[in-house]
Amino acid sequence: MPWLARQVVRLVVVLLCVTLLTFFIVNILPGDVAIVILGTLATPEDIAGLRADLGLDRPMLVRYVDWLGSALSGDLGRSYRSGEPVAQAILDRLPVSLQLMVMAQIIALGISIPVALLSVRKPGGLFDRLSASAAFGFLAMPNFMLGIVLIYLFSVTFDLLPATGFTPMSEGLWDNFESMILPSLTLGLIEWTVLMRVLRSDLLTTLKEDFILLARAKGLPPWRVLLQHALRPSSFTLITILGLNIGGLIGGAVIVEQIFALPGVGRLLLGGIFNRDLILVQGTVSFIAVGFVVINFLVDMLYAVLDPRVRHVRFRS
Amino acid sequence: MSASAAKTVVIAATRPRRRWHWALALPLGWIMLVVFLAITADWIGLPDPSAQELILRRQPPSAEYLLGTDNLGRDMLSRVIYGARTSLIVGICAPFFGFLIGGAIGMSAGYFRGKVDLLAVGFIDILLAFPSLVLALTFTAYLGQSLFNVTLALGILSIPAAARVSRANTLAWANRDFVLAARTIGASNWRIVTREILPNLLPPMFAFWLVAISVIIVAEGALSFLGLGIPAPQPSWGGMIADGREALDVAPHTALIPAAVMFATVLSLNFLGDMVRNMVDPRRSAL
Amino acid sequence: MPQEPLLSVRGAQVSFSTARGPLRAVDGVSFDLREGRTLGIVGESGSGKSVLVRSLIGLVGASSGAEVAGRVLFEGRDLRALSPREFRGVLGSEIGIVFQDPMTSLNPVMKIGRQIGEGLRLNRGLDAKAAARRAVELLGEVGIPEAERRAMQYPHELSGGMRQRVAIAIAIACAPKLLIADEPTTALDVTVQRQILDLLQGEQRQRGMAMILITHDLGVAAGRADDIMVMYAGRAVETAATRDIFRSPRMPYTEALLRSLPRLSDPTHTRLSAIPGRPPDLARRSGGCAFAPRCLYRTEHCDDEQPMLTTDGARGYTCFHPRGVAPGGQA
Repeated sequence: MPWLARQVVRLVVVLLCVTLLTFFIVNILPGDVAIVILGTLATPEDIAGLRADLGLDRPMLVRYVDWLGSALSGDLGRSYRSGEPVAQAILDRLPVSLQLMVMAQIIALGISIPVALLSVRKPGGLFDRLSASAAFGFLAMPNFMLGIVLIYLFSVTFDLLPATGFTPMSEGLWDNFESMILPSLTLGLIEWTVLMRVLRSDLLTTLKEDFILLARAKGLPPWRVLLQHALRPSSFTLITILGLNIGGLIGGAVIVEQIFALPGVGRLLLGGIFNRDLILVQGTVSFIAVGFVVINFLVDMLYAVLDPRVRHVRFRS
Repeated sequence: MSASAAKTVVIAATRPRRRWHWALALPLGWIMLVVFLAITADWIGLPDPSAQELILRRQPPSAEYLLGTDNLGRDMLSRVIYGARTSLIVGICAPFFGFLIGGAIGMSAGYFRGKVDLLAVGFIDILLAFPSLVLALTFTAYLGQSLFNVTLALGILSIPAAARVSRANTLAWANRDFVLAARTIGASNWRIVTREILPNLLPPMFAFWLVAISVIIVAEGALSFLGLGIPAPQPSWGGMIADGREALDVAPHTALIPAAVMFATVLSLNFLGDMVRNMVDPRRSAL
Repeated sequence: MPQEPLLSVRGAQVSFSTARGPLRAVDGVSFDLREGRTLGIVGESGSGKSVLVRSLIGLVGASSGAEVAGRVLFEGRDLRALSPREFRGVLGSEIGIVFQDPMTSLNPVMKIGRQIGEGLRLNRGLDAKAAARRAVELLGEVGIPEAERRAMQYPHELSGGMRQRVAIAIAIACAPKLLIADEPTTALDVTVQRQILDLLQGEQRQRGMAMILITHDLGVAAGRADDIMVMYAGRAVETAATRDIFRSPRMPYTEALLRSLPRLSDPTHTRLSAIPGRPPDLARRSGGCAFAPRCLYRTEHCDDEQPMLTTDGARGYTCFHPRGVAPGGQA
């Protein structure tokens, strides 16, 4: 089977397993959902009625297939609390989460790439050691802690940026941007450390290659050697990490949305968990997991675009 | 690359590095202090971490309350120390649990190969397909909040990493001469795995476990921060930071002190973890 | 000398600091190269031949942790005294270099045409279009069929020999006066080695370039170089016209190298003689001749004292017991 087809088959299998596992966790773990929803004072008839309503009296695999069928047609069921269609609820909140993650990623890349490029110009030099220490420090900072520290600095002490709340883009681009700065900084300031370390180490490897010598022998100034010859061949691990870290980024987004009261998918999920809203949680977790798997798949595909060698030979790692 | 150029590279890489032995004392000392206080918390005359003194809410640090009091007038020092106990219990036990299961999975995958390997790798892939915090949230939400359940949920999260490390190392060791020799004299699989492979697996697993502790402490903090970790009256650093967040403008110390303690602890653990990992596996020191 | 040499090197030194102390990879090498001539630098791996040449053109230097000393005059200009910018100008437009392995010396993620045109745009001020056109022409000149199509391909899509042709096209793109070929055929299949050497020599003659041909194989240098410099343990141990080297080597090391070459005139199954022992550890130099431990003619004198350069007409060698010279004939 050609490489691409194999990857797609693998993707589909993983997606099936992931949704099944979600279903399993939400449905099998202790605590009858009907009792959780209705409370311990409910009569047995009420519980039986609700179980029938939710279809809980049928075998799990049957319910999974049902759920999967409707999920494929875009129907993730309705929230038990609000009656809102889960798919719609997710789509409404998705732009906020996406904006948060994209801005965070831009911040992370915007810091890590220049810092890595500057550090490899003199490995072991002052800048290199300072940036390594800074990265080590930020790496030890959990995002919920960094969020609080940023709020304390920028909102409480200097009153520069709003501490919480979200302004939609429709109410002004700048206001929207302002309300997203601290949240995306919180995510980005942690993310850059990993990216910088990976890129720095790959750059150092690349810089020992003969084609870098050849580029220098062509008379290219050092910064052009770095940008035009070293950066791209050094960015493959970076892209892998970028893909892998999206999991961390999603988890981070849940926390950051909570800290800064942003109406994103993460907060929707938390609300669902606190409210014991089974169908909402199931839909949101599946959506997040599927999104994560698909993004990682796309990142793998991105290799082929960036590294012409992959199209012919399987990639090294 | 010609041989002489290759040599330059080697030379550049082996240039002696300055070692900062004194810098090791600081993180090691901090961790020892935290562990000591967490163990002896009951006997060093700390006030009850849950005792509320509502008149004395949000007191800044003073002689009586060394680290001040929180939103409900509880002694911060006491809560930080009991919080350390929570963090350490979860941080040490969860990876241990994950490593038992993940280690077993990884070892069987690496030793038996074939279908077992395929299954194990598939299982790991599925677990890794969830953003870890989301998985932890879902687990604790449905298991119910308690110290045990949080530990269990975070333990499950550390299965994939542990399985990967043990699988890779088992693969590397299973083909060594002494293992093949053991096989030819008719040793049972169980005996080979436990006597020949496991001892070689322990050093890298130990180094990884040290790193996992700080990761799990952060994850526990995140769960508690979201209110889905350690249940309320029991002190936990993440929970304390979440509590303090409400009074950030009037009593910033209620959030910043547990944050600082947590930062110092995680930083120290990362530092020590790096040191140990460099000792166990010099190849990884580059990253 | 009828004219000033194109490249003149005096007392070139390169040392690296290592955990075991300084390592002198190149130790006081001097030579001249006139326009249009070819100098073969021959030595075993680790003899310092690559490091020497790379240090001359600044590819080994402070940034790679090396300490470099000595004078390098190119067209009468002291290269070491130039500003980094001026130096890059000379490097880019006057000197071309071909490395050993075209697998690693071409950027894997950049199209071939662009890699060739890059130097032209920078050093000759061509615009993107003109550079691309010239790149295609150059590909044709180095013998690559379907140059237009190849220019749009990536290095991995070409065979090893083709890649080395591309590397040569890059080296000669700006019409340099000096071409450095650093083991240009070592990484290639035996069948294409000769083609590449012929191509190098052809381009050199046609363009009147001077060439430094670095090789570990005396046989490669034999038909191509006007002069040969043999290096051992970072020193130039013998320099002479190629014909003289082959006819009557002075240095026992050169003699040993020659003996290890297979000859067509030898009966079949003649055993090739290998040089016993290994090259010395450069970080632990003794006071005497570096080749002494492996030398057939070694005396106590050789262990105690470093032989200085003896000049004999156009040739030079560093040996107390030169071959082909009547004993006592030389001081």
